[in-house]
Amino acid sequence: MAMLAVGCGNDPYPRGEVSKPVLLSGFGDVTSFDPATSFNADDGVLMDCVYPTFYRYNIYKRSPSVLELEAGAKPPTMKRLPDGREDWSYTFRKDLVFADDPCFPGGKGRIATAADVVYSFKRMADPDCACPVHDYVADKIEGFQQFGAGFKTKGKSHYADPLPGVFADPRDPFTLHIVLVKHYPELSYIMGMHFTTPMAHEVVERYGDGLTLYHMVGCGAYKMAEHLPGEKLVLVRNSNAHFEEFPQPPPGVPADVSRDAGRPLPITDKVVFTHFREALTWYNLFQQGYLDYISAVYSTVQNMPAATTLTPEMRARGVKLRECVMPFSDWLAFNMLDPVFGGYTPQRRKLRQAISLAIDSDAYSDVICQGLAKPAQFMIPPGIEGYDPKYKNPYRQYDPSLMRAKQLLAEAGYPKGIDPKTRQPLVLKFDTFADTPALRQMERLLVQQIQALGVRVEPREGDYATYTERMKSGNFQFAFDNWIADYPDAENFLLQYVKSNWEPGPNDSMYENPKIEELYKKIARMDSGPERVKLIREARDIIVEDCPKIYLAYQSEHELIQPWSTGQYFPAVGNELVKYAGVDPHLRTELESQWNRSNLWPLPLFAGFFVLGVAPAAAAIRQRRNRKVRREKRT
Amino acid sequence: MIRYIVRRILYTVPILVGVSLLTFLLFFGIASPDTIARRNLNIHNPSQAQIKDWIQKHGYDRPLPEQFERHMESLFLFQFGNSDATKEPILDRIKRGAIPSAQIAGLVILSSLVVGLSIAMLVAYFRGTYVDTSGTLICVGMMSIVYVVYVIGLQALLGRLLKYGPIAGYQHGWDAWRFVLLPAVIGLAARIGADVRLYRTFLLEEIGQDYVRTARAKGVREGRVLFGHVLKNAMIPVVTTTVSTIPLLILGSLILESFFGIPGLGTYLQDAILKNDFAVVRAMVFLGAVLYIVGLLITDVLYATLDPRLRLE
Repeated sequence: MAMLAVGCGNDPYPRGEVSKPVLLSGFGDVTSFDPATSFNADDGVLMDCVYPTFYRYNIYKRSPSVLELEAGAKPPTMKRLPDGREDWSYTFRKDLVFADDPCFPGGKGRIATAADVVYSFKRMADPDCACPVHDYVADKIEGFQQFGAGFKTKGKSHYADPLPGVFADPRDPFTLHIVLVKHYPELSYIMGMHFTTPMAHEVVERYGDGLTLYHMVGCGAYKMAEHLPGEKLVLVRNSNAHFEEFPQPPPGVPADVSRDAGRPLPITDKVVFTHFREALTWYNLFQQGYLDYISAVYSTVQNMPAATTLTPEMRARGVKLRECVMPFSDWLAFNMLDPVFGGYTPQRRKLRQAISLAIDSDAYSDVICQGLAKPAQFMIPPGIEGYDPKYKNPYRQYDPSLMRAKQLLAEAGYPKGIDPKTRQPLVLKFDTFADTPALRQMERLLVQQIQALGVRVEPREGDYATYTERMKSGNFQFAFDNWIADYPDAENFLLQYVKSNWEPGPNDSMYENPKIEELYKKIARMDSGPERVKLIREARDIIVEDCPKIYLAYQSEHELIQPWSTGQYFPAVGNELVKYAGVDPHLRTELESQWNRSNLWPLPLFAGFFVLGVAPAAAAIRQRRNRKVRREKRT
Repeated sequence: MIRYIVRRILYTVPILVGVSLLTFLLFFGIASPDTIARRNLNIHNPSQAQIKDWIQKHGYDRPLPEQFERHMESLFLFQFGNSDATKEPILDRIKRGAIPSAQIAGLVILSSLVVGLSIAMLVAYFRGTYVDTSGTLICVGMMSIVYVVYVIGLQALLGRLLKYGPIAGYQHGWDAWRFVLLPAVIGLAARIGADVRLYRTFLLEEIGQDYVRTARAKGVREGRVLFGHVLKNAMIPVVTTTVSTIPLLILGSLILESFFGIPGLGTYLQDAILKNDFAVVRAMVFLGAVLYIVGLLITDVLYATLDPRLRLE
């Protein structure tokens, strides 16, 4: 203990690291850094520092999110072809250079061109890569599906063949053409995702599977210097990166965010991400000043006591708290094929509507999410086109007396929740993956609220794999689910009501409505504007009446930021934020040494207690032995 | 003895095959190849074709006996392959993770031997006094507290409030000691109650032996009796019980590793189970079985070495 107290210090980094201009952050479980396959938010935070895309999300625009050029040189143009197809031209910057790496001749990174983006599209089509957004673009880009099928017969040599719908301009190597067989406004979002980053074939050919965790070679602001899986990852400035500067802020942006406006990016030359598993550990390290910022979502908040409000101590220290509602919805899905709850007859609708009215979203947001969520009225969250802050879902207006809910339940044929066939309470099986305390608490709350109607709810807990298996096979009545948007567009939420997306696709309710199919097709092909908003709201009203889901909450993220951190402004979408982040190492060193002085006083106290505790016993033993000796002498 | 050791080593083969078979059956009983593919494919809603491709690529579509045969062959050759989830070479990760795990386990075992025995000697020396009674009471109290409470409570007390050591992280090389000391202290605190009770029993059993009475009758001083005779003989059961727990400690400090962000083997196994990463689970179970068997073999050999009355046959 004494060794610990005197010799150790509690700094978790190599000695002297905190006094350097290094950004100190944490990271969660990563699965893959391959831009063609990765689809995990934790991976994205790291990858997007290395792999730039044509578009990025503006750091200052949080609701709604706004795309702006990153690797792109100018906005794309479209030429309609005689047969109705669209030829989109994307011109990339000419100063994009890959980071130096042994995979390139002489170890020097080469210039990235449109051919490298074509290569990325070919990887998206390759079934071996199992690209998560493959299905989004497969039927929109000319020849994409056929090209993907070619890998089965030709193997990797197929990469040498042309992809008909994606090619580099023969006259300008920095211009990419994408030929669409139908109008696809969401292509802009795809061009802002790491799947479409310029990817050097040399990197894939050299590293193969190693690309998953050990190598990230892109033309972004950073390059990966070291990754010890489960331990730490270090990013350093990519000296070949193109020049870009911290954008000037619009009015109203906090001063600490825009302190470095006008300076070249990245602001910090080195970023050390350390892997921590427990939310409590993250929180404790932040409290000690060893993490420059941390974020909390509702699944971790129960382990982070002061993540939603600043304690007086934190306020005194100058810690900042920022909140952002994410494109992330929680809901409960009814299985529309279930013989009891599914179907589209007025009785079945009323049964679902009654249950929906029994659930109190405010309680869900306040108790379960501890304020890290906003009660939801529909699937589409704030900041997304079609969201209406004034809209009130008629079946999500909770009334503690449950009068309307009970009336609807009776009209559905279950007065007081009793099934007339069995004369017993109607049984509802509820599937969750209650693998965290927050989710178990959520399960208990929802069960309690629904049971107030007189029905019986039987929760079926399981690990995530079992839960997914049940959902994918349609073996459920009623289940908890959620969705984080792939891109901030209403289409990405409405696709959950389309029949082609039935399980194992994202339409978990297996909802079907020809009118919605028709509206979805129109919305998906329509550019943003009032007409589109009208259609989105029309679809919303139909869906709400059918009630295939009970909307619970839109999740938000809270960020705790240290007083020495700058440039920390977390938009709802977009990951490439690290390059804007700065630190004041002098202030950090000073405050950390103030906050982390060892308290040595318990050590002598502990030793004193020990001596005081044992001394009388030692005296007693000595006395006992002396008595024995005296007795022996007498005899 | 050599013949005994060879025989014991040969016994390990059916044990390892049995353990691996059990793991294999359990894993496939709980998770179908479809589920394993879904968990390891990095896609929110993988298509049937993607699942089928993944299963084929990882060989989970082969008949179970063939899979088991290949699985045993690779395990016995220590060719653990790559993780299903991350494609990371498993052996590399085991080699890297074994160091911090062994450091924590080594410190816990060593300190529990020294501290546990010292306290047990103290309690045995003061037997019959309030030190003995209150010591026993404190030990029983300490044994009744759940492990995770020690970890969370002492991490907060020693790490966060008193700031005696880093509450998370790990650095390789000489700097590593800074990171393993606090977890080791907590590991020690969590097991010291049980150890003191056990060692006290061993010591008291020896104290009641005839040779101790003879030594005392001959006028040998109490300290010499305790340290020179009693301790020496009590070391036989102490050492043997301690050695047999080494493999369990190396693989089993997952809570400590998890809370302290230490990249050891415990957390590696925990993550693999959560992700249905069968390639890692089978390798770790096999390794655990090997370590446990080796630990028991060392225990037996030590037993015979320390106690000349025993002969291994």
